[in-house]
Amino acid sequence: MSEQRMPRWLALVAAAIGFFLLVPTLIVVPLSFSSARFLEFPPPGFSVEWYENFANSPNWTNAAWNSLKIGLAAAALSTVLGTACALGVQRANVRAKGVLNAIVIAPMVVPVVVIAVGTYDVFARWGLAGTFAGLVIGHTVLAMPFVYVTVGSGLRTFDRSLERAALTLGASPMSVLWRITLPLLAPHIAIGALFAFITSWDEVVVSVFLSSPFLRTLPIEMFNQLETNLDPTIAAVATLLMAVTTMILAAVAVLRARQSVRRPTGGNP
Amino acid sequence: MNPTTAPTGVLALDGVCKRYRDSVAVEHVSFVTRPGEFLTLLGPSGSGKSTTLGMIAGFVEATSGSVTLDGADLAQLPPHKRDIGVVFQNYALFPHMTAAENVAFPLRMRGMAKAEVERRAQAALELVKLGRLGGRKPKELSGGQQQRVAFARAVVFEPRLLLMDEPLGALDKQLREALQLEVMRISRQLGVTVVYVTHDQEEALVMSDRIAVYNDGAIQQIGSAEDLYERPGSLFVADFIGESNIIRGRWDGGRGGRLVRDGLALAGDGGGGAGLTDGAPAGLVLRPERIRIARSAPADAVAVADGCSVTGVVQEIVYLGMAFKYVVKVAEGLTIHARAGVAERPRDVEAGTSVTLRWQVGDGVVLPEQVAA
Repeated sequence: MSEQRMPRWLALVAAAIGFFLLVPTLIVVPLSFSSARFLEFPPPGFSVEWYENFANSPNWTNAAWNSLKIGLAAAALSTVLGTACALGVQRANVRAKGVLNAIVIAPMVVPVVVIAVGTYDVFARWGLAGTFAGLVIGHTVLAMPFVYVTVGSGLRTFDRSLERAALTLGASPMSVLWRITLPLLAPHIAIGALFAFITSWDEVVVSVFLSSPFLRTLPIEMFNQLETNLDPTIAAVATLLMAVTTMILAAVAVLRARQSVRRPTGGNP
Repeated sequence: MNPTTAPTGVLALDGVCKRYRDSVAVEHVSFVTRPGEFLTLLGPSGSGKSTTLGMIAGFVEATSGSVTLDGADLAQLPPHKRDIGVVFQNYALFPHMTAAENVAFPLRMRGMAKAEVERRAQAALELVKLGRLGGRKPKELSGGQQQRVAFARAVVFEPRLLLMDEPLGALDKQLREALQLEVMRISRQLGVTVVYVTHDQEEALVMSDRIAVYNDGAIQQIGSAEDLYERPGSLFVADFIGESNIIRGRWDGGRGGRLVRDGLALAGDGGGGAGLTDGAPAGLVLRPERIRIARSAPADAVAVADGCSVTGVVQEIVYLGMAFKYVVKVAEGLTIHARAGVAERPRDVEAGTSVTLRWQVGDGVVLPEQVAA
């Protein structure tokens, strides 16, 4: 592959786009370290007061803790379900494959508000609204398609002769799944799990409907605080949220890079 | 192995068919292997040989017919209970395991004790001369080494039957030839029955005890390399195995049997004359190395009359290393290839020389033209 140098004007345009995309997000970082009492730019001085404020406020720490627990539970649940769906739909020998596929990825396509209203209506009747389980299930609905899609893409390039080989070597279909299929799909499953966690971690719409004053996730607490007291704590929380998301995306990038190194195995195209 | 069951590796296919909704992949395939035999399924791609292998291994369900191994019906057994070693075209090594772990896999699946697993896996790796590379992952091995690991993994659990699906297809010629001999050596040493699939006729001739020639989903002929080469049962087999001249014309049963075409009447052995009736389309098979070539002399006209020779003009001489190949134009639209060893080549024959080609009656085989299915 011959690499061509990017023309200077194109580089400038690209840099400008990057700048406009990132600055609104990154501007909260200096704001969170501000010594001012209000959101003020540029910040008059440096302080970690707002991070202390976050750590010392039960409202914030509870919300963070809730987000973490719900995120982990939803990620775990969507990983199991999404992987199972991917295996099932990809390998189903049925005509309705396209329909099945559409059903599973529907939550990615249907407006979130619609899902939120519907979920709220049903969960209110079942007594799940405002509960931990309700939020986990609600987030799982939104997160599962991400696992389904990443594992599905892994399956499309999966060399099924490996499974056949394992069968001929005496492995039962269950052993083949545990010893061959799942270990080889592990990077895809891990990426799906990380996306599932992020989906839950910064989910707002469904959470607005399903949370209660006693059970708030971090984004919901932020909305709440925005209405009452607008101090730089919110910038500190936003910075923390971003840091977590960025770390997870970095983990995804690392997994992807390792995967592409691992790809070539067989001798035959 | 358990001596009471005396496994011998006799694989029997009886009238095996595989039909898909609108096509037939395999049509009435029957054969029985001898214990420890090396049987090759040879044919062009899409001729049904890999599908046959899939039915033996259990990946493909036969539409009808039976497959038995030492008398046991394989249709009753799922693939993981058949105890058949399989070497895949792309090796199918598990990329997340080392070579040693790959080889140990079938033993671990059989619940063998750890120490025994390690001992046997190591022994199998040594058998394929990879004793020191057990710790490497497949991607750290060359194509030939991967192939050896795949082979070791397929035989480590002492299967009675070993299936190999174009296992050497991805390797370069020299490596392929070295591995051919190694596969033969080890499989004979282990006494395992081998069913080997290839489209490479040279490979089939070198390795096999018997060869089953496939075409269009059916076995055209099954026999030793010599049988197929010297006594082809059909024009397809004659064409597919080795190089041959196939001169197409019509059969004339008179004067000991002649193939008539363009005013030529060429002598050949019509065998029992099965499928040959006077005037029926037929082909005369002549192997290039059985044809002697010499500059034409006036006396040759007499010889031509017996049907075992023909005259023509040399169009091209190709040097093949161990022989010369002569492309001789005999008539409009009919060229015959003749071959002469470097030592016995006629030195007075060049491109443009008028030559006479001669053969023995028994060296020409006349076979009926196959009616396209």
